[in-house]
Amino acid sequence: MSPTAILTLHVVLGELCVVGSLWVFVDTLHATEANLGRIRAVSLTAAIAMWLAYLIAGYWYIVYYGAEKALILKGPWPFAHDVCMETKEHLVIMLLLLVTYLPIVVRGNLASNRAARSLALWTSGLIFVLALVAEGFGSMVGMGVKVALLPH
Amino acid sequence: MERSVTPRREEELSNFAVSFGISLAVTSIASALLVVAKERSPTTVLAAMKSATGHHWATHSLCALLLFLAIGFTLTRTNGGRGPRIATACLVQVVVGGIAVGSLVIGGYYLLAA
Repeated sequence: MSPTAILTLHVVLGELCVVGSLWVFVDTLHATEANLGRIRAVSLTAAIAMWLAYLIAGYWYIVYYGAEKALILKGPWPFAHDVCMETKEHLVIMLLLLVTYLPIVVRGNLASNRAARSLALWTSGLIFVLALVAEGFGSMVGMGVKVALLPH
Repeated sequence: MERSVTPRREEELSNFAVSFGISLAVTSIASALLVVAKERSPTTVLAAMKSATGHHWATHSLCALLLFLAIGFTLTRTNGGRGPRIATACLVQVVVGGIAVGSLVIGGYYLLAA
């Protein structure tokens, strides 16, 4: 698989996780017996998407990122690696644990169990925020490469 | 007229939800501390993590995942197989606190180190 395909898949799957977590959050706010199946299905989808995004990005990071890192560090935005990439690559480990935890939480009856509903809201909310931060840092890394390639 | 107030009984969370919630918080903080340890000790901790799988990040991910599973499954067996007893509000605080502390340690470390 080409690096372009790997990066595209990584971004698409990451977005799927963002949208999925937001979907679970909103659906949980209006949880009834009717949408429990959908909440569980979307939770699982978000978890699978994040796992795939993680594995694909991990492969890319280990195999291809070295060259980009060298470019970024020589360019005008070294913080794109020193802060954004370093923080992102470790924050996503927590994100991976959170998405693994979400399907466990939504196995409870969210329609009748207030405790499970509260925990599902917090878990999906945290996933949404962390995934957005990861997306933002990913964009900064991309910009770090771009500005390094510009004539200066 | 005196109204009778019946206290609302909060439903309990499943054994797995509580156990893996606690595990999530503990693992997040442990993972953040491992970040600081490997960055501060490149010749020992970082080198050992690199040699374990070929890349420190792969080792880090594996350690976090194994710790999450180990703590989670161990906790499910406590209390006679019923898992830890903890109020929902407290569990939410533990989970959110663990993620917040872990994120702040990681972000703060790299921000200060840059």
